[in-house]
Amino acid sequence: MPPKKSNSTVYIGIDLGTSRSAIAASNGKKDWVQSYVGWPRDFVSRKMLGKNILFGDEALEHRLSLNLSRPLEQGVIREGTERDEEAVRELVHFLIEQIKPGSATEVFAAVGVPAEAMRVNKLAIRDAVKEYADRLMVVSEPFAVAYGLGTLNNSLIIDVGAGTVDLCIMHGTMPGEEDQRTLSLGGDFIDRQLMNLLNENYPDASFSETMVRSYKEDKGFVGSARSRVKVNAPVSGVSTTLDITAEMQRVCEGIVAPMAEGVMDLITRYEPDFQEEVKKNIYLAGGGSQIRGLDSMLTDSLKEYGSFKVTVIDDPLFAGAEGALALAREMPEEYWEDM
Amino acid sequence: MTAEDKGHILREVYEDNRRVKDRTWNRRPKGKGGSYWSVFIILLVAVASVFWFTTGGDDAVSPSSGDDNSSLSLAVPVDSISVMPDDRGVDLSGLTDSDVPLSELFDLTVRTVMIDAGHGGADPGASGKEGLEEKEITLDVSLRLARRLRSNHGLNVVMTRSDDTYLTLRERAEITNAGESDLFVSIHVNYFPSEPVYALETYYFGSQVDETSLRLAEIENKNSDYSVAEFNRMTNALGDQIKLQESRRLAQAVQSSLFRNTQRLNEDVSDWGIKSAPFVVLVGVHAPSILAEIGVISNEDEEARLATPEYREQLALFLEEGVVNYLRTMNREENQ
Repeated sequence: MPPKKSNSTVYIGIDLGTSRSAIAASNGKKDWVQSYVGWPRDFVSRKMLGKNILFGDEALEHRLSLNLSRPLEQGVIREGTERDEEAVRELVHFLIEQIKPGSATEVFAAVGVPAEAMRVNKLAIRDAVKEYADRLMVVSEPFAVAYGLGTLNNSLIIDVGAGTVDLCIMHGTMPGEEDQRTLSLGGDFIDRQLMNLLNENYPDASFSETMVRSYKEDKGFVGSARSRVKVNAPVSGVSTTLDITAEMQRVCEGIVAPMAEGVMDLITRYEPDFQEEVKKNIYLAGGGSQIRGLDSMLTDSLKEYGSFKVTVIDDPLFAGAEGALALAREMPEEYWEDM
Repeated sequence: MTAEDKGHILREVYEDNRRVKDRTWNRRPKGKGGSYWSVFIILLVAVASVFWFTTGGDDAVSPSSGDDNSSLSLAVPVDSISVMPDDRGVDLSGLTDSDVPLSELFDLTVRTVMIDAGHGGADPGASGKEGLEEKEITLDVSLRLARRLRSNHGLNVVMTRSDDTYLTLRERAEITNAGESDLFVSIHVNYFPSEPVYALETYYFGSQVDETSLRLAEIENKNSDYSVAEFNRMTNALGDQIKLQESRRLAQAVQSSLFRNTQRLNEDVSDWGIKSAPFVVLVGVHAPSILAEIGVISNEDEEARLATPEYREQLALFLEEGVVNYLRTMNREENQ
């Protein structure tokens, strides 16, 4: 695409996630949004809402009047729905608008996506984003995080997302197929398990997906509880306080063993000389990294394989976007030419 | 990490994106070189015909005299018809000794993929206890795979059948060859009624076979429509090294993806790996070809899963990943 005649260039890093999408720009602006896009169901909703399309929290709030889409469910753009591709396009558009590029500015974008989408949706993602960016590169999310942290060699990134948990071992090159593992038990999986368990144990109470998700986001934990997990829910129509500590612990802990297995799977295939170094450089990223105690429990469960150091990264919300931004800025001019 | 190391990584990101953008699987940058494949074939045919005419061919030449086939300038006895290109002393051994896959040596590109939904029409294939038929599953998964490869990767995808029709194995091979497909993927579902087995396996065109594969091939080859003579001739032309190598690599990529991904959904699945077998449909097709057994319909839990659109979509995704991984290794940049 020939570049517009422009006065300036802005570099942006975008993190497209199942649950949250974020943007970081070289003009200093940042923003994030929940990965929901909604279109009014009929002309009545359209009139009431006053808009043709809604995003994030606003879309969730008015979800009853909308055809809602969460386009990166399970970490991929789902098949057979042009609507999901449309939703990705609009989500990207929305994010770019938030950092106010201005009409005369050229947008150079690096976009991080879940590993699964990287495998099968590259073309669809390019098509979705290129309408709003002048130049575009797509990378996998864990790689973007590693780039931003500067840990591109002898390290392991665990991106605990809503759709999937992506593990990626870094050995100084762009990661290939064999350097990554994807587990389909992310945050959404935990929500589903929690919902099932709560419905079983509290049959008279009514829980919605949104409620259950918020319980997990606020109070998710593994290991020993520092305090009881008490939440409010309607029981036969009356708002009641319930103690769901045991349920929360059980469902959150469910992802630890598979994660440990994934870690060892990747490490055992790594160059033997450097395995010990990788063990000391494990990073937890993504929304799920905020589950209290996850880093310690993971370290514990790996004890028999050696001495590990698991670090929860600062600012998991923007780590991917910031990493993609760093990549966009450091990408040599001549490579951007072709994109 | 040094600036130079970072530079390498950034270059890799650029190249990876470039490949997607160009939407073809050409190894060379656009505008330079091209495929040597057609030149290679012409050369072989030319050399082979020279051998034909100067060695055994002459005796068979006789002037046509009131034959039914008077349009032919040569009346040649049927059993001396040979299958191009390898059977007249053309020596390929120098080429096949190298470590580099032949497809890379000749810069072969993949543009057209043929997907073959096993069985169909009057031939339902195997059936599960609840009555689910193999032909329905193979068709559905094939359609989904076709859509994915087309819209996600810009490949030209064709199908031997896109509805519930019956085709002999020979017809499937001929359709594929006529369309000049670059790859052939046949989708099937396994059947082990006497054992509660759940395993995945992928067959490829190849020469070494074991008992079990031979027996399975025998069953699957039932509706072939090839005569024994024709079939033997085709299997004897197994000097086609390119097809052999590429079939094996494709099978590895597809089986690896199928098993790895299915195992995440269901721990019980076993990996029976890749095997070569004389399936008529694999032998008759000129392009690199595989036959994937994507599940076991005699297994009750599997049958229930295979009946759902969601699971079929998953299988199509896993197959897509396998094919794409194979294409990526074909396109792998060598150290330059």
